[in-house]
Amino acid sequence: MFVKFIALILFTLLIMLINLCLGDLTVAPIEALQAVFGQAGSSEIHDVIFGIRLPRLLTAFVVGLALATSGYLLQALSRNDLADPYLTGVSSGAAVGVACAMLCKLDFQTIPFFAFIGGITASFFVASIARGSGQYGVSVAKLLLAGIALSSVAGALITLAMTTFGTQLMAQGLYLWILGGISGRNWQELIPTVSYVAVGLIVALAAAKQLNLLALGEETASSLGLNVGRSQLIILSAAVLLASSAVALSGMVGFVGLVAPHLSRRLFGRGARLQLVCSGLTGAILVLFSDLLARTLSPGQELPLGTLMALIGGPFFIYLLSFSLDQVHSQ
Amino acid sequence: MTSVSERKILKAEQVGLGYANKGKVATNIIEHINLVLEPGEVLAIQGPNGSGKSTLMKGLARQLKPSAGTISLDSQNIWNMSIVDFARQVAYVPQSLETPHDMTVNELVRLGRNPHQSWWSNQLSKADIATIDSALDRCGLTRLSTKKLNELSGGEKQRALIAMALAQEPHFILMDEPTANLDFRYQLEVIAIIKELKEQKIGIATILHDLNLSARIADQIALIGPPPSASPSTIVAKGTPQEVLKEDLLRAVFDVELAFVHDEKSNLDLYVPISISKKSATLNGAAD
Repeated sequence: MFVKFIALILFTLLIMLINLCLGDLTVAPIEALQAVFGQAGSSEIHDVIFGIRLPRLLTAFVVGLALATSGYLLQALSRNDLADPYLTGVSSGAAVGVACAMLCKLDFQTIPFFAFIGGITASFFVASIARGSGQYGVSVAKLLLAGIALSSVAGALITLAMTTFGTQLMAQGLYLWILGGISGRNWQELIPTVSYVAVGLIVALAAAKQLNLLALGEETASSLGLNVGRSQLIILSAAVLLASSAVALSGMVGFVGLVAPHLSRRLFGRGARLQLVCSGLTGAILVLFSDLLARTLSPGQELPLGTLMALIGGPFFIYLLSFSLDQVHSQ
Repeated sequence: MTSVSERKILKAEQVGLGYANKGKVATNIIEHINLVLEPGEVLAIQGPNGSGKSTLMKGLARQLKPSAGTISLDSQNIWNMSIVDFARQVAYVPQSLETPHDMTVNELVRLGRNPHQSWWSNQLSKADIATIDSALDRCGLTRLSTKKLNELSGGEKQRALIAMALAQEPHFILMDEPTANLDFRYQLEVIAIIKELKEQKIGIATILHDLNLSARIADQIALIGPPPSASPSTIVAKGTPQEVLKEDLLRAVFDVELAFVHDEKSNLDLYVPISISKKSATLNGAAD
């Protein structure tokens, strides 16, 4: 387990280094690292590495970390491996929040906050539908269907708001952002969002024990002295905060929260504390790798990150669905 | 009745329980429940399917808030206690864990220490480890402690759940059909554990379907009557097995004809359901 964990960290660092070096301008690893520490060989390298690639790389890292952790938390909460911020409509809710904030011309200090308001509203809506009339437990089929419905409504709301209130330039910018991408992200956008993500991660790590108890089911958890409602609210808030921050940074990048916890569960089992860290890192690797492909597959042109993730994640979701369809049916 | 303050007592007084149904007022499933459970006592709850046994169990386990009456522990309303405080004194053993889980027995039983730990820490003290080891030992799971739950047999899983409850160091353990889906041998294993817990002065309330098992281990049996025409059910008889397991009562409540056999070899009274009785045998006749 320890060896696997170290390997995961090394692999994360390796893919970060590759992302730093590859692109329209290929930079040698040593030179790239020198540039990171402010000792670039030339001003051109400094501009490319420090001005463009490093913030972009860190954005990819943060987005992957946040989405995967959020997905893990939602899966633990709903006790189903098919939950993810994108599929449950949390991301769409957050996107409405971001669109509102953009229309009001708010800056990046407050955009993640608006995303959070949108995300938490969506999550309450979806959770109340999925919970049904029973005292405990959620219906996974309802959870996913409510997520789909909510996503459509949210998409329509954003379009409506943009065509009514926004300028054409704004609408274009928003459209590109929704497609999901992290190109052109700079330090001014990254740094405030990181603080939101940090809060979400700290809360999630502090709730690791509650996650282990909730894994036994709400009834058993409560008989072990856990205040189930309060724990769920705290964990849900952390999950939404993480997903919303990611949406604010990178738009609608789907399936990271679905795929990463799965891979990490295969490798590291289900213990909450380890799983929180490892899902997060796996998600970061996934987004870093996708972004590398997005930047390098067709030189001179860039694929939107969200499109690429959908190409990877969509089939994976179908694969999972075909294996757990009976489970979805029975609930 | 005077209650000694030292002695722990779990008590239900005029309790009604039901489920709220989205905005509508909850309709009670059971009503007018009066029960007293003392340490070292085994209370068996019996009754037909749908009579509200599990609902009563959820009420006693502080999972479901009574719509009427009070459930108290040492004359303190359990809903005025903190959930942690309650979990230190009363443990609940569910019928089964909701999902197959790749958690080990040891990991599961460790979680039983939760009410004794701070909210964020799962660090185990030496005393915690001793309690966990003893819980595993009492349930005969020491050798299986590193096995995963989904590798266990039904009986072993049930024992793991009981071991988790024991790790809570409770005064009372509530069990929702601990012998459901178990074959004879595993049923007897569970019964043996219950007997041992009784000797350690733990009060046990358990739902049992098998009259013969109840007769062997229960100090008290509460027989819950079926709802005649949609009204809430209630306890129709309560007392020692000899008092409650009577032909007319059982026939009325379960609507079956039973045979009673005394086995000389084991010196046990045995109950054998023979056939479904005619509907004419009414509950009202028996409850008087």
